[in-house]
Amino acid sequence: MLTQPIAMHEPPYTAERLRALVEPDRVHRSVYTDPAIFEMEMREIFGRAWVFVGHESQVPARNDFVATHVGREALLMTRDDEGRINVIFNRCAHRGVQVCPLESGNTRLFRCAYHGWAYRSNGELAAIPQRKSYPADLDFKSQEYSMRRVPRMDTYRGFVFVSLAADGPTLLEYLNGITTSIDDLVDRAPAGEIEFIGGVSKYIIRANWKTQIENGVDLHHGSYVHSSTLDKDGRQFSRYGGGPRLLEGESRAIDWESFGVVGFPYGHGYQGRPPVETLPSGPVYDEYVRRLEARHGAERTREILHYDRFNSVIYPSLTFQAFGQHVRVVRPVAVDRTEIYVYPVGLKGAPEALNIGAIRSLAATHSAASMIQSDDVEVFERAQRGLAGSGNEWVLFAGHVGSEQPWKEGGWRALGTSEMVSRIQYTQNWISYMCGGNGDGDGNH
Amino acid sequence: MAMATTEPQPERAGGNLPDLREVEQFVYREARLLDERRFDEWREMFTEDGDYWAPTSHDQASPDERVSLFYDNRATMAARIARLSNPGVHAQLPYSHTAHMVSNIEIDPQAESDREFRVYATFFMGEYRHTEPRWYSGRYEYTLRRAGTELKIARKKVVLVNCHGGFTAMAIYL
Repeated sequence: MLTQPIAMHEPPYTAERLRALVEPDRVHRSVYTDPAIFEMEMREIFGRAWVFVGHESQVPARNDFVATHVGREALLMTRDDEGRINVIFNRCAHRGVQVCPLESGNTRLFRCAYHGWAYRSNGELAAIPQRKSYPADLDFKSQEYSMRRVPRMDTYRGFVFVSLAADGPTLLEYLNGITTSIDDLVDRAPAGEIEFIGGVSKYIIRANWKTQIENGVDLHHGSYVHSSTLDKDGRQFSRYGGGPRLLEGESRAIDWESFGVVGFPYGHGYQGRPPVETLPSGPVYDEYVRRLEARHGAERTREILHYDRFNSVIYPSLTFQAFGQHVRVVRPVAVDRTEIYVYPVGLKGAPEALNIGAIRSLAATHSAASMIQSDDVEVFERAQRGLAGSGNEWVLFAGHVGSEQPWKEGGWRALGTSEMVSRIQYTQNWISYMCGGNGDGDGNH
Repeated sequence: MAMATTEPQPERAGGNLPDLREVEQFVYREARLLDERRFDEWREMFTEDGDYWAPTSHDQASPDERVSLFYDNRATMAARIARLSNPGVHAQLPYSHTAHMVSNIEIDPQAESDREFRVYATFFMGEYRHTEPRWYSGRYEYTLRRAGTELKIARKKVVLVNCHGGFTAMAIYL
């Protein structure tokens, strides 16, 4: 029996070999299945891109902390004594022991369990027992003897991103047009801020991380993957208002083309608005609109509530819905295993019942036991099993090649069933990162 | 070890206290209906205002406070059960075979009558579809209500030992 992955016996991927895996409208199956490719992705993509690590509201008070990850790197996001956000590696400078084993909490000092080294909430070394046993000239004030900060950290409207590379595009250059999707979410809060509320729900897919990211900009799958959740009307059981209609009549899939899909440089994108005819109504929603109007006036409120996009993706690991009030973080664990963290989003200043609705609805739509996500998970896992076979070496992303047009927010817009965003991700970002570039598409390919 | 008695419990002062044998048989039947995929009959064991709740935290106060794995009222149960017989339910192709084992059944000692009372139990559930068996364990907390001669479930709360962890797709009630 073959017990070692084949890749262990092969030379590392050269740029030439990598480029052979990505064609304009298809990619080789090994990008989903080869552990050696996965190792490179962790180093070259998650090791350099701006990656979402959390929201400032997860650490509201001084000395609050929350555990987070970039790829497989274990990090802590903290708010220090002076109220600043820090993102530090969860590793003792002494023997490399994970300092904090908890998911969240509040502490002025992180103390390593092994030999008692203690760190302030900003990561600086605070105390070492037995200082005199170490050479007098060791400079314990240097970063080397701290819980090290990540090379770069920046925020956009409360969303905290880090890059594990010292150089590269700024966060704003990296996000470019997808900031409009963050704005679309945050602007919906009457107080102008969102917060993560209601904890986190986690599901596991025994599939490659990219299947979830690609799904986040795929409108068309709903008619097929989610057919069991449709009523006689072709409408998905009510997520909100009337719920999106996925079928017309008994069986004909809705025509998705006019809803469109938008893609941006660095691989971000969003799905256009799905066919929801009935927007929310009722006393709670009316009160919510009244509060928005009190702050912004009627015209700006109409703009804010204008529903033009469903799911948005920030490459390589964030997928979120303004209208559905949730954020999902995609955490690669192994080439064929991925954890997804689902966070309900509260709109500050909105009626409490509206935010509670967001918490409640995730049990039906996005928990591991939900009626919607469980079918996506099944399909992702079938993809992983299908791709393990060698009957066909290629994965096709040829939907509406060439239909894309420049878009007003930057990037491009294409027909609703276009696979453009995945093509951008592979032909511009993925291959650039993997060949040592910055994911900006003009590097090395 | 106390031997189970086949005699009905005598009525005690203070009203009709719940009968452990009846409660055990009720809980075992509930588990068997799930294992036999008799989901419509299973749903009928709930009161009209009944719900089924699996939190994501051991100390979660309500389905409003934090996100839940499951939170179904009767209407959501009907949607979920209808889905389970739809040919497009990919997460159940092939479908799950399950065995729910329920133990440590205890009537809340605070129960003052058999009109409404709590029952605590532990459970273990094995599930197999096609790739590998999966195992779940945790605690059940039932709120049972007397409706005429019948017992009904006003709430079934399921707290998995790993409720705060991650799960692969679940399609069957725990």
